[in-house]
Amino acid sequence: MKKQKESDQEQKSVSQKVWQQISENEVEPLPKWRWQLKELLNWGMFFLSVLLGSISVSIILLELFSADWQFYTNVTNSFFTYLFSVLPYFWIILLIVMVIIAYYRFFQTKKGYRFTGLRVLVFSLLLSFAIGLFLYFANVSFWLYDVTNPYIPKPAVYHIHKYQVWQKVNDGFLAGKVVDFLDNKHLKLRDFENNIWKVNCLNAKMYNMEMIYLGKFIKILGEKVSDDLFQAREVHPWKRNIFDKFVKPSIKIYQMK
Amino acid sequence: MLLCQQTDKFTDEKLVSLVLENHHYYLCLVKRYENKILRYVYRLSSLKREDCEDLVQEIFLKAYKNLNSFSQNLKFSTWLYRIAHNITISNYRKLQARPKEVYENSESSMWDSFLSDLDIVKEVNNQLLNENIWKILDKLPAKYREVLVLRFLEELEYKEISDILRKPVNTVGTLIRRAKKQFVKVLEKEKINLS
Repeated sequence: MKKQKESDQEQKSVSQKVWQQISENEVEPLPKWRWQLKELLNWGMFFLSVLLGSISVSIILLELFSADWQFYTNVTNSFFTYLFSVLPYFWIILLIVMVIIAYYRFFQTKKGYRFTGLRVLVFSLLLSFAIGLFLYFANVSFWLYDVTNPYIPKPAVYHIHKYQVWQKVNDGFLAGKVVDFLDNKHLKLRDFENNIWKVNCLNAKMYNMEMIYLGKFIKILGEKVSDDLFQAREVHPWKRNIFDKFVKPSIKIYQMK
Repeated sequence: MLLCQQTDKFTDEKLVSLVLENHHYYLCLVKRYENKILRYVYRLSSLKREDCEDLVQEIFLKAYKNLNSFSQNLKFSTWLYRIAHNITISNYRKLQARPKEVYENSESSMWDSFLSDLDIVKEVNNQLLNENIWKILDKLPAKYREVLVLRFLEELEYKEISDILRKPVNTVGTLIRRAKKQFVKVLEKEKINLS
């Protein structure tokens, strides 16, 4: 009897067997929202990766354009040593990871496979660059930099090269945080070694910024007058936007914000 | 049975929407494609008929569960082939070590377009030709074997193969070209005579 049943089972067509399994196990199609959610998640992850990639691009641009290319000889004779010390590695690695995730997520979307890998890679990279450039141009990268900077690991040599240039006060370089305004001509600045300087800004040209306010980090080119007095010739922001170079230098020294 | 006779003139896509309303219609879809999918699985895997039937059952069950993921901008057959391909290939990889001695007794005319593509004159002994071609196909990596089967045995267009394998059309073209080269290489290496 059992053999007969097995033999009957074998003789059934595939369609009958499938139908039997569906009926006996009460199999139901999975709900449509599951597929829609999957597609939504793929696109969401794609755009999130592109956005994080864009943030990386904007901060990479900010770091590179804010590096002191014209003064690097103050700390090292090799251009490449300086270049490799100021490269924002964390953001470069994050950009690469995000482009890979975006690339992978794009392929997971319904029609993603129709595009070649190279095209998707270039597309995600270009999109990150375009949005990153916009963020940089719109000065959003300054804010992003300030928010993220305390948490971003950097190699020790970055700090040395980045700050050492501006610690050579005897050579006319000074940088730090504005801590007070004394009068219309003088401000107080704390350098990166926590020394307090009185800076005379009379007739100094202010580059790439409209105003100086308390807490702002600035770079000053000028001359050391005494142990705590510095005569400024040019005042630059610590970080700058390359597009600001089209703004003519202002001779207005500072304003209270 | 009567139900399926009524749906003979329905398109696959129409039938899918009917299945989603009344699951009894699924039987008609299975009937429509069971032989085609069985043949495809057989060609792709070279497994025994019973093993292929088990795979086909698995394929139709998965297709039923995933029916809501079927989108109308794809042909149903393409979508079904994609599921069949995924299940067969993952099974094929698992069982690659197993000796496969069963070759499809396909019509030798099926190979005509393939052989003329390779500039190989067809053998007179059809049975031998058939067996030899399957032997060579079996020696090819799965990625080459699958494109050759889809293109020359299933006679699908590049676009359909692209949708089944989830690869760009250009990549499919490249794969087919490489697969043909690889086929000739194995043919020469193994000293198999097709002409």
